[in-house]
Amino acid sequence: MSTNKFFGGKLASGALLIAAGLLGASLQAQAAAVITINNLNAPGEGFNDTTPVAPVGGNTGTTLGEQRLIAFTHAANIWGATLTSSQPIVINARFTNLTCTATSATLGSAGATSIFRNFPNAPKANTWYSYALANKIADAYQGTAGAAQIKANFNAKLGQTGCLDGTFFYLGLDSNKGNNIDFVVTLLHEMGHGVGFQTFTNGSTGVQTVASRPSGIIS
Amino acid sequence: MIEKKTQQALRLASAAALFAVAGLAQAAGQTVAKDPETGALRAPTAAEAQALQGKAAGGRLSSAASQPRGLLTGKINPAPVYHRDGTVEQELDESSQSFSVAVRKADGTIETACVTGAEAAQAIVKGKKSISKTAKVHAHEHK
Repeated sequence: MSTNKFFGGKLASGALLIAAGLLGASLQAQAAAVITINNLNAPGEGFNDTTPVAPVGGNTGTTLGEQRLIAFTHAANIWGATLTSSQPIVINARFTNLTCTATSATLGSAGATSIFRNFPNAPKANTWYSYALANKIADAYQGTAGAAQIKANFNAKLGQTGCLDGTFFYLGLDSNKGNNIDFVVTLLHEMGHGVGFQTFTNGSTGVQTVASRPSGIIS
Repeated sequence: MIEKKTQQALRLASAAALFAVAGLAQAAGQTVAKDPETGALRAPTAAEAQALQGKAAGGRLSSAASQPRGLLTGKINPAPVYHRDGTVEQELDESSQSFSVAVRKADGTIETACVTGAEAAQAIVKGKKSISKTAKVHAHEHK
């Protein structure tokens, strides 16, 4: 697993940060919010896919994995410039095989890794807040040190035979997606869920996330 | 010889009982052992605790591998964690994650939607539910 840090705001110089990120460098800067991307893919897969590709729509990556990461960086920078938080937002991200048929596919999924209530400065008692938002409001890191606030998965097979055949993620940064799926737009959407635009109920049953259990762990 | 076999059988039985009780106890957040001689529940010895840890870790791994949890990253603790300052922390599983799905319509256009939970996403992708008839989605059409 490699960790790339990206910074929101106009301080972020895309090429420099991408290069630094790809080299595994750790940078710090003042910006609206710091978004750190944990690349969970194994060597040769997903963000590390070494398949050569031609630059597209302002994405200068020369491999499929590099272009995916550049697109991710682009989206992270947009969210980073939009949000304000003293606490870093860590995203566990990977490309993996998600459910597909020849005419349909799960593009990706995302959400908060954890939710918190009754933390310092919480505006409402006994009310769940997504991880990144709880950290921001508390102005301090909640929960397990080093834990990611968001998890995000994207379909590695999109466009291949048996997976919405012929419709791929468009990895350009210019919205010129044609008949494909704009990956940056998908990322922005999914990251939005991760930072808190999300219900904490079961999507199929409507059951709320456990409000309280007597057998919880005391930390 | 008979005594030796009996002892082995007793050890296996007690180990099985230990793991069975541990499985129940893990759900409640504590670990106890069933004494092989008296049958009473008690705190596990150091050796039993070590054996339990190994068994539990193996159990979690095999369980995770056999469950349809491929959309998840990392392990999920189903129980809330109560911190000393009053903060309550709860990890989330895929049932409340948001899923973006895409379906090619008969006219060739791609319709996308966002639904909550892997089950809802699967229903659309597998054709058991249409995007237009799915409640609480925001759908977009791509031409």
